[in-house]
Parts: sequence; structure tokens; C-alpha cells
Amino acid sequence: MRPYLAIITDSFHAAFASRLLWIVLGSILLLLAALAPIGYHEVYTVEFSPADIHSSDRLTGLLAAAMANDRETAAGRVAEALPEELREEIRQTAAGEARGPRRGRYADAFNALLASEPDDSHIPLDDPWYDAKLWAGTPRIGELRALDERPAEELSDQLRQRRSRLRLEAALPGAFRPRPERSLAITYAGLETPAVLAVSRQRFIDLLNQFVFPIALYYLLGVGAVFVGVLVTAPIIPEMLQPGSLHLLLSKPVSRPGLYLSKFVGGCAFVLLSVALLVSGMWLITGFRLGIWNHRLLYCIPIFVFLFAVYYSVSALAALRWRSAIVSVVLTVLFWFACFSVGLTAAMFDTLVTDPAKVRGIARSGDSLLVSTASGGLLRLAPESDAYAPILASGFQNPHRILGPVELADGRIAAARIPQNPFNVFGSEDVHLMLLAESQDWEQQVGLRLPAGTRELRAAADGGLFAAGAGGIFYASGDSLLIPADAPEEPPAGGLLGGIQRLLGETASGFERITPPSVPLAPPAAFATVPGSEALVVYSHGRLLRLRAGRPSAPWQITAERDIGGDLTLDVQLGATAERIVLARRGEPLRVFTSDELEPLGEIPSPSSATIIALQASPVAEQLVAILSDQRAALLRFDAEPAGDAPRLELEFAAIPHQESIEAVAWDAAGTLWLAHDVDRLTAIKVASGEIRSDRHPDRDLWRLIDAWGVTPLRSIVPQTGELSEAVTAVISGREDLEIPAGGEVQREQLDVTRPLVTCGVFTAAMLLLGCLYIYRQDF
Amino acid sequence: MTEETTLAAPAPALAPAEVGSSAEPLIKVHELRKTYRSGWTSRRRVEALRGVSLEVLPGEVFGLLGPNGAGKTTLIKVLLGIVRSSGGRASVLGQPAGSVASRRRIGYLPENLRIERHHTARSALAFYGRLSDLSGAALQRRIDSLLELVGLEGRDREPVSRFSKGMGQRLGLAQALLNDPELLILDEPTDGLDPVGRADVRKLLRRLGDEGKSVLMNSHILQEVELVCDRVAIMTHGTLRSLGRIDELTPATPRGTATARSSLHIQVASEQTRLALDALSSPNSLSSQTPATALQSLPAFRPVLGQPTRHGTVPITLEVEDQAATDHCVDRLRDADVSILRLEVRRPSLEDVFLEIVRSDPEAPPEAEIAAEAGLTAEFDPADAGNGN
Repeated sequence: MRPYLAIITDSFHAAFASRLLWIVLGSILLLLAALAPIGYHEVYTVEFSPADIHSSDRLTGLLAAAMANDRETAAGRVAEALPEELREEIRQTAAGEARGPRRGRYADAFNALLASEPDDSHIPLDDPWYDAKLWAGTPRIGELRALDERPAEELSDQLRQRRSRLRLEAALPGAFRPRPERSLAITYAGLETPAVLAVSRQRFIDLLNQFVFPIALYYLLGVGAVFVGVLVTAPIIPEMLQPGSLHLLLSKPVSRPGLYLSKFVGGCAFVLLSVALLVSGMWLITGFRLGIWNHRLLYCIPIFVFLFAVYYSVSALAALRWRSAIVSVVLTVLFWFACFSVGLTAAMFDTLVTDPAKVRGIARSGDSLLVSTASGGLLRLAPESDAYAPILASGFQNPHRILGPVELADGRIAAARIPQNPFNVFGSEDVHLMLLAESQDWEQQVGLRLPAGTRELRAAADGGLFAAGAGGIFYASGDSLLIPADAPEEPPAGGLLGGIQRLLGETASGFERITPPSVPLAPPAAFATVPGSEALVVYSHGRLLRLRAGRPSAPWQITAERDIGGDLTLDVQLGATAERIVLARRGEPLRVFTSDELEPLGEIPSPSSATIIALQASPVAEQLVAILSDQRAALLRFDAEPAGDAPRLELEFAAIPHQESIEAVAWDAAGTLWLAHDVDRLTAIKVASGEIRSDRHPDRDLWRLIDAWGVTPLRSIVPQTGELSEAVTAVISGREDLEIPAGGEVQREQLDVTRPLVTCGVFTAAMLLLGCLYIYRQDF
Repeated sequence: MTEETTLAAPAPALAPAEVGSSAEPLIKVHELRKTYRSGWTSRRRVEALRGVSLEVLPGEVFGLLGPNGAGKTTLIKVLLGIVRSSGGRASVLGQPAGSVASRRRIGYLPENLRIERHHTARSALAFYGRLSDLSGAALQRRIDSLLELVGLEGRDREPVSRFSKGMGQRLGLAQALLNDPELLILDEPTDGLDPVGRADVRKLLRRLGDEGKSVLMNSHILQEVELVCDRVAIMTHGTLRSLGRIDELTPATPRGTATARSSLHIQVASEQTRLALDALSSPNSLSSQTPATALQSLPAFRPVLGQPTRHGTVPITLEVEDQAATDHCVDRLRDADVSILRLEVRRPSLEDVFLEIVRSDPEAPPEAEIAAEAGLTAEFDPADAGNGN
């Protein structure tokens, strides 16, 4: 082994003797020196930014309603404090005479309410527009209640401003996105910068780990250092093959393959030194300056060296065959181009062919299965058919989003199709409910207009339908969902009141809001129906509420409430069985509560590598399925647990087949679990016994077949070096999915770690094997 | 003395009795062949070795001679395992040629040695030492002694990029000796060295030979070979054309086919020049005492007359095959009453023999090309080759 170690060590000496290495190392040190002064400190989240306003329509509606209301309200006091020009614009918008103030104007106006003037050094002890009595009826979060209880003199200027902000948010529920208590102010060399990030420290770390580090390191090292490395190392093998050098090496007691492999490993020294310096430097800077000691950052060193090794294996083999550094560089660049082309083709097939066909929702009606797809299609799979029949066609040119399908108690299917808007996914366009029934031969029947901004549909136990959005949860009874064909066109509500209702999304006749105004559903919020009862559970702004139907045409009554607290900005999922409520907030353990009094029953550890993106409860049993962002699903069984006892449960992954390829799950009315997996295949299992009741593999279209038999094998053979960036992201973040905020919701992208590592590893091994065979058989 | 010198190809493996025919040869090559194939379809073939057989015994310094393309380097490469033979057998130190076990006991100095520029003499020796599985203090001691041996002490910390060709060659010799090899294979060991350096190398090689180490040496500098080697093999076009001790390759009448003959230099008085030429040119000029059978077998000498000297003498030069012919010349001159003022027999040098053999090769290129290929242009004037030194 000593001779081979000597060759490897000698390569390091050669690398250190390279002037180019020192230039690269010097450049890296300069970069690190430039990054080192970056720091941050936490400040209270005070100022509003335009992005903090969740719905300017709702905000305008709330302010207009308050201004039109004779009764004094908190919102009215806020509206009174706004500049007269803005108030006039709000009035005109409600009357349908203007389009509504922009978010930026609102942000400026609210910021002016936080202090008399932005540059005023004196912050008043109390807000001139504040009235404790009026605010008592607003949904004040725990932080605000605590601040209100403290004497104003004890509060710093910043805390008083923070209190003012929270009061404004409480006065206008549902208009603002929840922001963390503290933001991060970025500094450079101890100096303040204008950059204040309204994210929590944990979110900041997540952003660094999921986006900043992976992208920066991939381009600096995966592209820059690898390219320079290819240029620098290209002459190593040709120089070794020079007669005066090679003959001497071959005369030593070393094996030829060992010599070649040692030279190969030694050739990676250049990149190893560069990568190690940059990564360890960034690790130290983020550790000392930002307090983030992410040891996974160091795992990037072998990954980037591995990425270089993929290219270098081609370069070394070419150099062995043609003994020319130029030829090996040219061939390596051509190889890179081939990898890029295959990767691009594969990505295009993913984007245009595979991803749009993925099932997002399932509903069963009789023997038929209806699914919604990611591209906004609504398809039916008849029992005797091997192919989906489109009810609503989808396509790349026709971006829509499907709400539902939801199976109603009478067997009908309810769904809705929303035009996609890249900046506001749920839009404010008029969207009508769509009803489908086997008895009507699955012809679309136009139903009620949905409340504006509806994000979710759920079936009610009584045959009705819940529609939830930023404006709250609305309910329509089953027999009112369908608009009779001979019904006259309902004229839109006119006047100021009509305008306000329109802005607040309350104009959909037939749907009645059942959540009180103090329960906004601006994200992150969630709701679930409690099986076997007419109750709902709602999570909103850190509160968990149980609602029960009250008087007709009146908001439901809050029968139980629990303050969860913590970070209100965390994404949340809610699931409810008849006896238990399960709450999953991103990055936190699952919390289990009783369904009646919302008493905590305990916590269940959640997976650290992925996020729970949905909780689906069985309508007939104490069972619940958690869907994870890494396309796994786990079962939670409460059947064996005595009601009220603390759960001693874990997520059961083994109970559900097709792990890591699950697209969606749904329970049918009989308590059978339907899984959509491998894009659009459907499997029904009886969870209690594990029996597979149905397994449907619908036919694929031509493009899907080309993807399956052409592109997928090709991407398995050609190393997917581009996808190694996903491995970098996964390694740094410790997660196997990427969360990308888009249009008000979070898009999750599964990070493929295994495939690039396997394809690159197999390819590199094959190249090295060829090189070993060549040098073993060749005369020199 | 035994007669090993041969010109036949393929030549039988022969060993000199003086070195010790009973000793086990370090190198045994039998009917070794190597054919290079090139081109995409391997149609182009070059036969680099056409059945070479030879042996190298322990303790001898063996020289391998031949013009470029003769197959010398290929033979060395086969012995080191750098190329694989196409046929025949070769073993080194009792192991198959090219095996790791045999290479462990060999020291090799390649032609045009290249040492990477980032090395100093000391680091290069350390690197090559570790390649030979040496390490630690023993390696450092060995490096120190070798640096002193090759005269690089004090310059061992300098980058090799500053080294002259000769210093590089000394370093190459040092690395070849790192593992205290039983067999040294040197390809042009004195290439690039100045006369002092060459003398040092010669001295070193002789010393190694005295220490019982065997040396297989390939050199274009025939004088070096002549001075250093115990035995020499001459190759042309992949065949072994001659093999033997230096003093056996150069006698006046070596066995076998044509080789360079000895030349006889005679000086006679100017007035006896005609008489001497007649006596040497005509077989009938001998006296009646000469037996008739002898008369018929006498060769017809072709004397060459030189320029008269200021001392009143004339030089006459003629080629003789052996001592009998010399005796006949003397007899004829004396029978004709020619007074021999001076007589000298000059034997051919190694270069004479080398060129004679190369020229006699049926596939030999033109003479000027031979000389150029043999690297003799700078060392040796082909115009003088036939005149001896």
C-alpha cells in the first residue's frame, strides 16, 4: 500500500507546487474574507412590508366595512387613523369605482401608525388610535396580550412599536400574514444594513441551508472549481505517460491499475484542497459569525470531490487513450455537454410530462374513481377501463388548479377549477362549484359560486360542503349546492355593501360563513371536520378551536379553544378522528388532543428529514394517515389506545405500501385507504388487515411511454451530475425535499439524492475499470 | 578461452566461462519475440524482437548495442514488464520477466529520465524509494549515501527543474540504486554527462560489478561500453547479431561470417617499395622452398601504399585475417629480400566490429544512416571507420 500512498501524497505535493492552485486558494480566501464580516442580530418585527399583507382585497373590505359601520370598532379606529387620501381610495374601491390601494401604500400607512414619523426619535407611550375596550373583542395573540398587560413605561421603543403592529393585526384579522416575533437585521463589519429579514432565526437557517449554501457552493465549486480542476489536472496522466516518467514508474514494484488509480485519486487533490478550504471557511464563518454550526456543510467536501471525480474519470481515460491533455479537456467538455443535454431532456419530461400527470386528489363514487392532477385535470377511471377519461382536460398551456374532488354524503362529487395565477394561486375570480354524479353520466353540473379565495373543500357529514379560504370557513347544505338550470341569473350585490361583501368574499349566495370574524384563516391555517359529528376543528394564528353549529345563518360557536403559541409562521396540518385531533406544525412533533375539549394527549416525534404535508383521517375508524413531503406516508392507529390516554405511538410506515412514490391518499366512506402512487397508479388497501383491495395501473400516453422507456433509462445510464446539486441541498439541509414559496403557497420539490449518486458512482467506476483494463493490457 | 562470439540469428544463449558458466544466469532470454501492432485494425506490424536468446550472469556488466530500431529498448522493456512479449521466454532473477517480485530487485535508469518539476533531489529519491516500498530512517540514510555517491550532496534541496542534464542523470542513477538492486538496467547511463561525469559513472559501474551486482547497459557510446562491459550483445532489426566478450568481438579473425579484420602496417625503405609490392601482390613471388600446396592457398594481398615519410621510408597497409596471413606477408617480403623497417598489427575496435556487423545486416539502411542511428556522428567519423584506431 505504501507505494500507492506515495503516489497520492506526491500528487498533493505537485498540487501545492502549482501556481494556479495558489491563485485559486488566494481567490477563495479573498471571498471568505469578504463574507466574514457578515453578521446579524435579532430585532422585533415591527415594520410592515407589502408582502406582509395577505389579501389587499380583504384588507380593503375590512377597512371599508369598518368605515361604513356606525358602531365603533377596532378596525374603525385604525381606519380613522389612516390618511384621508387612502380612506377615500378605500371608499371608492368598495363602491366599485377604483381597483383598490396597492399593498405598498397600505404598508406605508400602517408603518406611519407605528410612530408619528419614521425619523421621530420619540415613540409615544401609547397609540393614539388604540382603545383597550375596542381591542378586547379582537383575536389578540398571546404575545399582544402579554404586552398589553405590561406598563407602557416598561416597554422599550421597539417593543411599543411591536405592540402597535400586533394591535393593527388584531384589528384587521385575516388581512396580514403571520410574521415571526423577531426579524433578523443583517450587519456588515458591525454596521447596520438596510436588509431586515422578516423571518425567524430557524427559518433563516433553513433558507441558508436550503438555498443560499447549496446554490452558492454548487456554482462556486460544482461548476467553477470543477472546471478549473479539469483544466489543471488534464496534463497529469499525459505527463505520467511520458516515456522517461512512465517507464520508471512501471519498473517499480507497483501494479499498473494501482498506479492509474493512485494517480486518479491524487489528481483529485487539487479540487479537494480548493473545496476543503472554501467549505470549511464557510462553515467557520457561519459558525462564528452567524452562530450556525451546521456540520453537514462539511459533508459537501466529499460530494464535490466526487462530482469532480466523475468528470476526471472521463478526462483520465481520454488522456490514457490519446495521451493528450487537450484531447482529454475537449472530451470532458463534450461529456459535460452530454450530461447537461440528458439532464435537460429529463427535466423537461419531468416538467411537461410526468409532473403534470401526478395525482393530487382522489375521490370514489360508486365504482368510479375521480382524480385531480397537478396540471389541473379532473379524470375518471371507470371500473372496466384501463385508461383515465378526462372530465376536465389538463395541459401545460392550460394551467389550472383543482379543488377536490370531494365525495359528498349522497355520492356526488364536488370539485372546482381555479385558473392559476402565478402571483396569487387562489385568485379572486368567480369560481363555481362543479358537481358530478354517475346518475348524470358524469356530466358537469354547475354549482354555487364559491367564496372568493377558497382554498379547500371538505364534505360535511350532513351532505353539505365546507369551503375554506382567507375569509373563513363557509358552509352550504347539500341540497343547495346545485344551481337549477332554470334559475335566473343572480345579479351581483350592488352598492357599498355589495362591494364590501365582494371584497370580503362573502357574496357567494348559498354559502354562509360559519367562522366568527375573530377566526381568520390566513395561512398558515388549517381545518378539519370531526367524523360522526357536526363539529369542526380550526387552527388559526396559533390557536386551536373547536366549532359547533349554532343557530341557522349564524357563526358557529367556539366550544373549545387552546393556545398553541410558538412560532405562528409555521406551516400546519390538521387531522381529526372522532375522538382525537392531530396537529402537525412544520419541524415540531405531532400534537394529539382530545376532539371534544382539545385537551393535550401527548406528542409523537415527526420525521426530521421531511415535512408532513397532509393529515387524512379515516371517517370510520381511529386511524389517520400522514403524508410526508418525501412521498412517504405513515399510519397513526389509535384503535388500540384507550380514549383519553396519552398516545404511545409512532408513525407506521410499513403499514402503507409504495413508500417514496406516494402522490396522494384518501379514505373512502367505507374506510378503505386509496393511495395514488407512481404518478397516477391507484391502490386501495384495507388498513386493518393490510389487504390490497384494488390495484389500478392506468394506461400511459405516448409521451409517458417515451419517458418510461427512453428518457428514464438514459438518465440512469448517463450520470446525472446536475442532479448532484440536489444531493448537496439534501446533505446541507438534512432534508430530502425543497420548499419553494410560490404564489402564496409552498411548492415542494422532492430532492433525488440516490439516483445521481448511483448513476455518477456507477459511471465513474465503469470509467476507472476501463482505464485499469487499458493500462493493464497496453504496451508502453 | 572459449569461443562464444556468434553472428548467427537467432543466436544460442551463451555465457562466458570466465564470468562463471556454472552460475545461475540473472537474465535468461530464449527465443524472445515481440511484434508491435498499430492502426485501428492492428494490421500494421513491426517485429521488434525476432527470437532473441541471451543470458546475463551475476556480477557481469553486460552491454547491449545496436542502432535505433534494433530492439534493445524493447528487450529491456520486456525484461521490466513494460511491454509484453509476443513469444519466447524471459526470466529475471529467477522470476518471470516483468513480475512485481523481479522488479522489486531491479534498479532501472530509463533513457530521457523525467522527474516532475516540483521535486528536489531529496524528495524525488524519497518518492521513488517509497515506490520501492522503502521508508523511514533507512530510506533517509540510503538517500544520503546515494547523494554522496553520485555527487549531488549539497544540492539535494534544489528543485530538479534547475538541474542540468548531467545532474538529472546522476539523480537517475541514484534512484536506480535506491533499493540496493541485484540487477541494474541502465539505458544510456552516461547520456548528458561531461567527461568527468562519464568517468565517474564508469568507475561506479565497475565498482558495482566488483560488488557482484549485475548491470545490463544500453548505450550508444561504444567507447563507454568497450571500457565498462564484460560482455556485449549487438542487435540489429530485432535479432542478436553478435554476443561475446569485448576482446572476443574484436580479434582479427573472429569466427563466423565477415567481421572487421586486423590490419598490418609495414614500413620499408623507399627504394624497396616496388619489390615489396610485387612480393605481396604476386603469389609466385615466394621462394622455391615454399611448398606447392602452400603456394596455392596463399591469399592475394591488396597492399595499399602510403605517402613516403621524410625518413625515406614508405608505409604499406594491408588487411590480414589471422596470424598465418601475417606470417605469410613477412615470409614473402623476406624471400624478396625486402627489409622490414617497422611492422605493426592493429586490431579493430568495438566500433569497427559494430559497424561491420550493422553493415553486413541484409536489412541495413545506407551507411550514413547507420552511423546517424547509432549516434556515432558526434562521437565517431564514419569516414574513418574502416581505418581503425
